[in-house]
Amino acid sequence: MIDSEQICTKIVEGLEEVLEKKYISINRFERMANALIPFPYDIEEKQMPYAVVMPRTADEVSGIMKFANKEKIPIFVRGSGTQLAGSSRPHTHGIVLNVHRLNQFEVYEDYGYMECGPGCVVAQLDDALAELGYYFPFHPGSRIIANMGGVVSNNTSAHMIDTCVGKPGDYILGVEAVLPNGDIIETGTKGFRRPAGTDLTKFFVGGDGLLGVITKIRMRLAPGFKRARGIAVFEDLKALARGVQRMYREKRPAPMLMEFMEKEAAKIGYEIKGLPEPKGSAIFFVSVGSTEEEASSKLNQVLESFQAENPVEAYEVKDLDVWEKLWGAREVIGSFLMQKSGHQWKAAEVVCNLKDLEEGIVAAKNFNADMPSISKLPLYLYGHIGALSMHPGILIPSDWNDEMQKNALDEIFQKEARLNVQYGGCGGEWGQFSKRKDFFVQRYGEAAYAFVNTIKKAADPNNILNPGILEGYR
Amino acid sequence: MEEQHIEEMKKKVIEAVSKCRICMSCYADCPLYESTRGFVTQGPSGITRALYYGIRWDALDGKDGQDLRDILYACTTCGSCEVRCKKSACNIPLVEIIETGRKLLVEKMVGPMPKQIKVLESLDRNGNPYGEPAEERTQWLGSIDPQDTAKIKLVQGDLKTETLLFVGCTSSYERDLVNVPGSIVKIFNHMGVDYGILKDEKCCGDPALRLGEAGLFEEMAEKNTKVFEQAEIKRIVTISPHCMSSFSQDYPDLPNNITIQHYTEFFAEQMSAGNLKPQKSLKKKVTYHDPCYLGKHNDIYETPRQILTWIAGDSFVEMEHNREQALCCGGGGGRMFVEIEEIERLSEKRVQQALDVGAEIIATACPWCYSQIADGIKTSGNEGKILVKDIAELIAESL
Repeated sequence: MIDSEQICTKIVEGLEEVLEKKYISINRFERMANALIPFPYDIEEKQMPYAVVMPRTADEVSGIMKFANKEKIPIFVRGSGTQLAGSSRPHTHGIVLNVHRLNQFEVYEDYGYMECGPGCVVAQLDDALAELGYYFPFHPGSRIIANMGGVVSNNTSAHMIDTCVGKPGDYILGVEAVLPNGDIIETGTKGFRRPAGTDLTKFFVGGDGLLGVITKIRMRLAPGFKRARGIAVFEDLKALARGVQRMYREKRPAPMLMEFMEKEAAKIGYEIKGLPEPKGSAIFFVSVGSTEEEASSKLNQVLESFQAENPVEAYEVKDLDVWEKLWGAREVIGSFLMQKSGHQWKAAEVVCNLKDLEEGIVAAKNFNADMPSISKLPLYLYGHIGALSMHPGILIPSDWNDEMQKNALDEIFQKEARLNVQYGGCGGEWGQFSKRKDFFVQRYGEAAYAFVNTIKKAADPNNILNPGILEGYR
Repeated sequence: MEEQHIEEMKKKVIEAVSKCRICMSCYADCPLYESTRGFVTQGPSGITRALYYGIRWDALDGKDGQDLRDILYACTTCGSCEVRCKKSACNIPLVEIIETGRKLLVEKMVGPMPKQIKVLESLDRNGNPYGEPAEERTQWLGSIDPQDTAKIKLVQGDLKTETLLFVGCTSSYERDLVNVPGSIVKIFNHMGVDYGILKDEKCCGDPALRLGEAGLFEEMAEKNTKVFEQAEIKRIVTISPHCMSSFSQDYPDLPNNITIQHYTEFFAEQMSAGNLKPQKSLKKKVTYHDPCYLGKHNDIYETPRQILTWIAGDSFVEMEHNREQALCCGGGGGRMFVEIEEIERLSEKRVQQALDVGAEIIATACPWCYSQIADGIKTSGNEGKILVKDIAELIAESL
């Protein structure tokens, strides 16, 4: 049996022909760092990567995939490593393909699209497009560091509301991808009309990284718009949910962003920002239009629906300084609680159907009540209520040992699965598999899971690319 | 006892790093990550995790120790990661962890980087990090106006001074910087300040501390503290933010009755009190580069800007990245003494940011930043298009 050091050396020798040696690392610390994600427990010895490679081109990615297939060494693709359901964590030994250097970016205004590599940082693209008068339809909480490859592979619009903005896939015209066998393909179109019938783009956008390595993303440019900002505070959490139900049932134009904080979370957020204590749970939202009047008009239509549920207050926020504080209150809540307690913040993603939202929000509020190991830990509820998406956030003590942390996280994902099955929703931010594999099977059945496995096997017979995501793991 | 100290340092690192949730936010502003190949261990939480595993795996020496050394000593200790972590995550003391790691590696005789060993030797032998003879420290006085020199009190023996101008090593020895202490002397004399400089000034010890040589730093701090006490100093005005930071944050026994100020704070105070009035306004467009040890480490962002606004009025412009978001020049954390591989030189990037806002002068207030930016102007081929000046030089020119 050959030891890992020999395999590491073999990898370096094998890949030296594919990319510059300085972009292949077998440094022990670098290998470990590329296996870590925001999970509060160590990786196991069997998950330690053999090497980390940082290709610059699709050809280099192709060479790496061919080498990996020949040598039967798994490849784990990594962006910024911020995904919260475990997809960036290697399941076994293998090579981590870090996409950091696949970060080319070009705007083709004449064609009406931009192209970028999977290593581009969301916030940097957002800023660059905003400067040209375009808007960027993704807003993950980790946007300052999140990579486009992850956003697209998960098809996450994160904080943005699907009913207003859609999903990344609605903007992506095509991709360049390297298949598990090393073949490079291009999908989609350079025009605005996307293919009718088979559109291979869909195998990769929201493909959980199972079928290929995205090396280029082509996305249409969307014109920027004006914004109006509003707030509504409800004494009763159920009334807040009814307000959102009413907004949809009364056919109001869905806002681009609609966040909420349950009363206890809002209290803390407001206090940090020096705002007077809120008299209930709060919704903050942003409506958009091609003019300020249109945005304001849409916002006020939403406010009309909210008014019918007797909020403590509901109004359009015109003072941007006040708005910054209100929005900031939502943004800092997790970090503040972590700093104050020294504990780690872990959240689930409970997504409800519209009809049951009133019941679902209470279930999310009581998320940990029946969970043996974490029932006594403090829980704060917040989320993207316009997308009917709720994050029960729990503070897990940092001094818990790995096994306790692992159990707590598993319990959180199991409970999330149970509630999402019960309320007919599904996670819309962090992918479908890895820690969520059980949900997929429960929600869609064994036949659906077997079907995905069949597709994966056809595309990747050696299971070289990102093994473990589909299988799920602890 | 020594073993116990090492174990305490290890424990401290493990506890602090355990609180990091690996959210990676700290990478958003890390100049090292931005300017290197972009490996995960070339960014803040990757560096601290490497140290964490170095301790957990008992891998602080041998090949692993050397790999860890290369990772830890690449950091500029600029503090951008801490600013970000405080704002968006767990408020982990990342720089302190990195510096503790360097101390551990020095204890293991693995750190610092080979080229930095000479720095420590010179600090010990000559009282400066540059290998320059101690007796040449005040030679810069020969390069300035003799009328100004005549008014300086050279403090030694029983001579006392309430206000001390602490010149620092770079301002004393770096020929290209001689105009900086010269300008401060000129301004002091213009205001009629009663002050002195130490005839046998020795380094504040900052390089030793940043390189992890805690013992040498403590020794230097102790000696300097004694000198300050003997001279009955009540106020120390420093030219370098690094000296100021060491005196105010790291000297364990500095008497409380000694006020430590960076010269920009002192001059801003004097300007506010009407004791220092610029006579000529600067006509050229000037921008300001925040030194990390003045801004991020000591929260001094506004006083340098007040001064520049007094001098330049509307000709003062901000770069896109300013204050907490300011890009590091790349010279801190002991990197002045060793060449770290950069894909894109930070100093060149900073020069470009200044050119982007139409600046003709980059003002700064740190000798290391000054040197780095001056190099960046040369290597990026922008000589003649933009100049670097210390704020002190601009004040002196305005009188």
